[in-house]
Amino acid sequence: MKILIVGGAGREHAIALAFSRSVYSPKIYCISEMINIGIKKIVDASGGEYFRGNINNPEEVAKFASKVDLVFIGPEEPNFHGVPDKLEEMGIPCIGANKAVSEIEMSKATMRDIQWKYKIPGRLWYKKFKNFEEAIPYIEEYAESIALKPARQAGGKGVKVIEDFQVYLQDEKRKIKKQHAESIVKEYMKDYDLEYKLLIEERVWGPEYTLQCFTDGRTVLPMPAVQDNKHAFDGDLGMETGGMGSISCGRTIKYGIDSDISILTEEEYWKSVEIVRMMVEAIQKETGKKYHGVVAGQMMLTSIWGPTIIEMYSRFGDPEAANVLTILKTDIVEICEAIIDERLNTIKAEFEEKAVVVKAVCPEGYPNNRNLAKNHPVKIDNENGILFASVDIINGKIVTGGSRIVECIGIGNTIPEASLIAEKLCHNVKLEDGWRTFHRSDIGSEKSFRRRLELANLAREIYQYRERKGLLGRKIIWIPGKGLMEVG
Amino acid sequence: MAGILGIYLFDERWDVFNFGVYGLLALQHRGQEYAGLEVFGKLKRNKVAGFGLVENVLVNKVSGNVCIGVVTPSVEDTQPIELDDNTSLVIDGKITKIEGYRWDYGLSYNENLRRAFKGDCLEEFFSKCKGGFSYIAINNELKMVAGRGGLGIKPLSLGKMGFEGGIVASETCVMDIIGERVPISPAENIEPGNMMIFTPLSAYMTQCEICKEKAYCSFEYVYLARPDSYINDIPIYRVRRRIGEILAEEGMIDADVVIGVPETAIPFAMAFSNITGIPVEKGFEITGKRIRSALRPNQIERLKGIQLKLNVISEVVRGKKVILIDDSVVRGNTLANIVYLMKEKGAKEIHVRIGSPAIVSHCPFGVEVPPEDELIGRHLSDEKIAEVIGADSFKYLSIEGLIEAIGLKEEELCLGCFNGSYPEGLI
Repeated sequence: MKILIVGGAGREHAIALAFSRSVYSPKIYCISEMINIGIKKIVDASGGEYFRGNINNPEEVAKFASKVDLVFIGPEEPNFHGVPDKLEEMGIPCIGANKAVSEIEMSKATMRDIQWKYKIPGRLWYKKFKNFEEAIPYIEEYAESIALKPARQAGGKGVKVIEDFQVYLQDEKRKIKKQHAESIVKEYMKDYDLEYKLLIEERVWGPEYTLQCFTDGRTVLPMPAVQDNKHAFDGDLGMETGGMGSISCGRTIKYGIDSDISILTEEEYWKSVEIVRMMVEAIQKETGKKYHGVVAGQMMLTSIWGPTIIEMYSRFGDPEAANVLTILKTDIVEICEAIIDERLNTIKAEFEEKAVVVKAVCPEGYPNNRNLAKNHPVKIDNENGILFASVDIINGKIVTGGSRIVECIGIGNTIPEASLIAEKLCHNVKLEDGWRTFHRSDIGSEKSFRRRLELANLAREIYQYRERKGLLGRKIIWIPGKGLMEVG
Repeated sequence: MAGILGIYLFDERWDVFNFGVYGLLALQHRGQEYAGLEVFGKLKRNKVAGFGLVENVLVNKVSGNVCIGVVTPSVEDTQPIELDDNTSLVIDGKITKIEGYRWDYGLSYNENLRRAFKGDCLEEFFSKCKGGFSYIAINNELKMVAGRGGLGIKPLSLGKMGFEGGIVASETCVMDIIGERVPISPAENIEPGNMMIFTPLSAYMTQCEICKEKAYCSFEYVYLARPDSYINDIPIYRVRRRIGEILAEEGMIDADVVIGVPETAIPFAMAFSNITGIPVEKGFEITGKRIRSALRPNQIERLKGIQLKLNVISEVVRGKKVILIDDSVVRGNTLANIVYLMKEKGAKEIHVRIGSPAIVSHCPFGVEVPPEDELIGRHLSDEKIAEVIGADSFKYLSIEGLIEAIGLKEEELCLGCFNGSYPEGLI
């Protein structure tokens, strides 16, 4: 059996590892723009081949795919570019959301439209704009605490969340909102020919979590919830990144395997699964296409809705993939085959009862000055427990690619225990030229977990109060002179 | 003492100025004589500073995405201090020693700092400094370094502004006013000897000194900090409430009404009342602006402050036995004035209780305490003080009571102004 993995980041390394554990001992092939040394070792050991190529070009991927039995697509961009569609056309089994259904990730506007059209719970209030001029009066008059997003998924870049609560700082915040709305349209969206360019959403707060699922279009098979950490620096400080590390334990992000304490309740977990299932159903209905692949809700337990969708992924999260794939007991080949045959309902996805903490190590310059972060030679003392992420091999040397260098995986009985293990691994990663690296030492720490728990409890108290009062997701305001209005 | 602030917003498009102004406004209680704000942007640097209150001094907006700011209670303490052409510093407290540098007492404090600094790397320089201080320094490369001296005498906390940046400030109340709202990411205490570093590319905490010993300033808890702040992770309000309760245990006397001298002593009075059942009342009405009278630079100004701030409401005191609670007594003359005003309005008896022990010593770390020969508590007994101020009885909080109220161990506190004993090797 031959498997082609499309993509060469930490997520794909985790996918490759899962395949290498399969009892079917598949030959593993990989295609990506940079050569990921970690994946390459797995590929070589399995007797496969590693190709350097453009993963967003369906023809190019198809050329290599013609030799294999199954293709597994890691990142979102090949989905958006119709790689799965091309493979389907050629009759090559593929795990990856096709172009039509991956619209739930690619177009944040479509995602919200569908959520409202089908009245799927956890829908945030939003407004979409074709140009930034249209958004300006809106920002000036109404938009207070908001998230400004490019209407298309752009590698997580370009999102800005501004809390505009303090009226005495309003002028500064409005100015930034307007400037950023303009740069979303003019910079982040300039390469994309889409009707809507800019999305403004209400800003919400609460603990975030990612719910990743396999789906064959008929069944949604959920994996344990994972909590990512988006801030670049310790203590949730600094710019938004693709993810600096993630924690998981059991389905509901428990403190430890024997603990009753968890970030989510069972009920919230299953509500979230239902939301993702409804999204899959809705996008299939809208497009008439089948969803074969991985789907994930990047969610938040908010005070207004409880489980709420922030964004949808048409693939595994990165680094969240490592949390679940590391402890996946069920053979991934069997899961893939069930997806292709659309009999995922017969599969039980089993996971080891372990706490997993993943920490990314990054070169300084990430995330906003990637050119500075690029091309630094990497030295790793011990590769055990380490996934390679944005690295390349140039002239026989492993160098940084500008994004996260590696993801270190700690496994333990409690999250803080797993965190300490991951923390130790982070110290094995150095850049030979002395360029500074950084990672989040606080991810999964006792203090960080407690804080998330407090946040969850607070959000829960408020959303449950709203639920009792029949106010869930509703926004009722009194406009002096006009009267009572319900928004949304 | 001073209130210090540093705001680091990564996105160059931000105008940080007003964040600085409102942040300093939240620290205004730490100094009302001088305010300064220096704003940094790409290839630019502008300072606004002067004598007076934040709202009067910081009026001309300058642009930039990073700033440091300060308020001080002394016209002699003007900051930011220029360590050299590239580097500015705001500091709360005093550096008393610098390793490898011989202090020249013929020179000014600032000049000593400049000579010792000599263009050093910021992290290295501050790891050589000893004393009771917290600092925020920044250079033209937009490297901002903020930290606490080894014993943690002065406070410093770290707050966040979503994905936009970070804030360091003397007190956590600043984060409530200009930062992200709790509970998303609450302000954090910066541990003694630690240093928070911001550069355009990163933000990280380093430990430059391993601190086995601590000497947190106890006066912060009694008087200096705002009741909505946390100092060393301890909520100030909790300490103030506890002080009121302990005062009731230590100095209970039968009375008709409890009155706190605004603003600091109000929580003491409320807690005193709650535990004794003696009703608490509003005893005073204010005329004009709220000024921290004890921090005014001279006696006339202080009395002016008191008389305008504290017009006694006759109805509350006439014919009553009053327990009057104040936060501290320095020279005793403002308190004498208050007692006099109350008796004039018909109070039958006045029993003064003070929410801190007697101040007996001058602070070497910059808390504005007058020379020791002016300190009434150093020289007179409780009974004598009662006579001097015209009260029926007078009692301080005990030092043990204060320690209990703060809830830390005695060896973790600097109680120097109350017992004359300061951390060793610093002075």
